[in-house]
Amino acid sequence: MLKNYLKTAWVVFMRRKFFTFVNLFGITFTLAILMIASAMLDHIFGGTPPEVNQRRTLGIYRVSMCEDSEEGRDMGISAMASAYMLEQCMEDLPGVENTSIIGMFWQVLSFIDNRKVTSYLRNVDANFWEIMQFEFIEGRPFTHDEYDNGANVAVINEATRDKFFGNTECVGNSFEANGKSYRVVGVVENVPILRFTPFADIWVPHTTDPGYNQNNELVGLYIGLMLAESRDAFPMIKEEFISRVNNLDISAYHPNNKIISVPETFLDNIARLIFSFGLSTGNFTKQLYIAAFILMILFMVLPTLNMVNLNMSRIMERSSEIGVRKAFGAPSATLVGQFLVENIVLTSAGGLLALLIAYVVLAVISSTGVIPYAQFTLNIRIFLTAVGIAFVFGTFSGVYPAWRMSRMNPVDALRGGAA
Amino acid sequence: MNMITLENVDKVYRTDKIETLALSNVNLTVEEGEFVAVMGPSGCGKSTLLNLVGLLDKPSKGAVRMMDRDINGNSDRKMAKLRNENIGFIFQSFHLVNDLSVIDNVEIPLLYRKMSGKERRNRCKEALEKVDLLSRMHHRPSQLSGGQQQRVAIARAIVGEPRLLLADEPTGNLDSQMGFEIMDILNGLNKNANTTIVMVTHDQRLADDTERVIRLFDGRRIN
Repeated sequence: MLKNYLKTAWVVFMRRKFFTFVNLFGITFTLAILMIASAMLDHIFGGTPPEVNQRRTLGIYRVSMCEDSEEGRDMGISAMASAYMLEQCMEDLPGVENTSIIGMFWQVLSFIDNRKVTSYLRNVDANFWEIMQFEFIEGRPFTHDEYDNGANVAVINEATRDKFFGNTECVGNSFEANGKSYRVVGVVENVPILRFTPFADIWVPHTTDPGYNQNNELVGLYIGLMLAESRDAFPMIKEEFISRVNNLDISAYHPNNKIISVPETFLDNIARLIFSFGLSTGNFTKQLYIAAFILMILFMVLPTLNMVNLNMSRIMERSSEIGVRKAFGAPSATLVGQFLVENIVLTSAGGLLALLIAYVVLAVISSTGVIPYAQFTLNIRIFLTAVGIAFVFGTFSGVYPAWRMSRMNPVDALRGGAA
Repeated sequence: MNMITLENVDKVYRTDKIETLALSNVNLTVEEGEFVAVMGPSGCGKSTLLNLVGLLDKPSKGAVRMMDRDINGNSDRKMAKLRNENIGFIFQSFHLVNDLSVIDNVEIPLLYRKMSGKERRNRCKEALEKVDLLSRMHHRPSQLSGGQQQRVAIARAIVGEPRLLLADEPTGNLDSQMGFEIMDILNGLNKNANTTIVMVTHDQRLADDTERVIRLFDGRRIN
C-alpha cells in the first residue's frame, strides 16, 4: 500500500511542477534556516572537543550582588567572579575531581615585521589542560611546575603559529605579546570564538600576571570550572558551593547585599541570565528550551499555513480520487494516512534539500572567517533535529487538510471530481 | 436471498434556505443474481437511489438492508468495509485516477484488504484479462479511448469479486457500439458470476436487456 501511496505522491508532485516547486521552496527555506540555527547553537553549546568533559563540568560564570529590601530585590552588580572568591569557594569541594580558574580572553598586540598583529590571550592554570581536552598539533600543555614557577610559557593555536612562525614547527621558539616574551610549549587546533570557555589564541599561566589574585574583591574577570566525579554529584556540589558563597564576608559592600553565584553549565548560565538576570539560584534551562521551541513553532507558522492552504487546493483538485477510494472501501483513517505520507514525503524531500543548503551556507560562513575559527558542521545531532523538524512540519501542515478530506462525503467528492 | 432492500426510504437534501425531497417513500427489493435497470427522467432521484443502495449515503428516513442485515446505524468504518467486500461501482464519467496506470487504478479496491502485493497484482491482471485490456495495463487512462476507460472502470469494479455491481449510466459517455460492448460484459458477469447488478440508464434498449426495470418519477417509484 505504501508503494502505491508513494507512486501516487510522485505522480501528483510531478504533474504540477510549479506548484510542487513553490511548496518545496517554502519547506526548504524554513527548514534550512532552522538547521543553520541548530548547527550554530550546537556549535556553541554542544560537547565537542576540547569540551569533551562538558557533561560533568560545572562553571562559575557569574557573581551577582543584589540588595534585598522590603520593595523587593534590586539589581546591584552582575559580573564575573574574582580568583579570590573562586579559590575560597571551590577548594576541596566534595564530589569534585578537578578545578580550574581561567581568565577572560583579552586582546594583545604583537609586531611581526613592523606589522601590527592582534591576538586573544587568556590566562589559565595548569588544571585547565586536564579538564579541557585540546588536540595538540605539537608540544604539550604547560606543567604544574612551570605554572608554579611563573614561567613565561604559552600554548598557542594553529592560526597564531602560522602568523608568528609560518606553517612550521615552533615549540621552543619565542614570541612577544603586549611587550612580554613567551616561549611556545605547545600548539593546539583552533578553537572557535563561539566556544566561550576554552577559546583563545594564546594561553599563558596566571602566574605570568603580577596582578593575579592580589586582593580580596569578590568580583573580577575569572571563570571557575569544576569537573565532577559524575553528574550525580552536581546537586551536592551546588549545595556546598552556594553555602560557601553565603558565608563569604561581604561587609565591604552594602549591608543588605546578597551574593548569588551558582555552579552551572554554560547553557544553564545563559538561561538563568535571560530569565532572572542572574538574580535567582534556580535553573531556567527548561524555560529556555520551551522558549526556543515556541520561537521555532512561530517561525514555522507562516510557511505551515501556506502549505495547509496549498494542500487544501491539492485535495480539492483530487476530490474525484478521494471519492473513488472512499466508494471502494477506503476508511477515512487510511486516507488520512495516505495524505500524511504524501506530505511527509514532500517535507522530507524539502528536509534533504534544506540539509544540503545548510551544509553549503555553513561551509561558506566557516570559510569566510566572519566568526573566528568557526567550523560549522552538520553532525548526526543536527541531522536528527532536521528529520524531527521536517516530520513535525509535514505532520502539522498535513493533518488539517487530511482531516477535512476524511470528512468529505463520498458522493460530494465524486460530484466535485466529475468532469 | 435479498441482496438489497429499501423500506419506506426518504432522502432529503437540506441547505440553509431550501429542502429538496430527492426520494419519497421508496420501497425496493433486489434479489441476489438479479440484473435490474433503474430508469426515469433527469432529477428523478436515480443517482440518489444508487448512492443509498451502494451505501455511499444514508437515508433521511426508512431502512436500508443489505443481504437481509440492517445497516442503519453502522459506523463509517463498517460501511467502508461492507462496500469494500461486497460492492463494485461503475460511474458514467469513469472516475479513473489519471495519475495512476491502468493496473494501479484496478488495484484500488484491493489496497484496503489484507492481501499480499503479489496476489493483488495477479487479481488485477485477471480482471483486466476479463475486459480484454491486459496489454494496456501500464498505460495511463488518458492514453485510452472512452470505451477502454470504461472497461478499466469495470475491471476495477469487479477485481474484488463483489456480489453487487452498481452502474450509474455506464454507457452514457460512449457511442452505441461501445455501449453494447459494455452491456455484453455486464451481462456476462451477471450470468457467469451470478453478480447482482443495478444499473441506472436513460437508454430503453439497454434496459430491455435487463431482467427488471424500476421506474422513478419525482423521487417516487412508479412501478
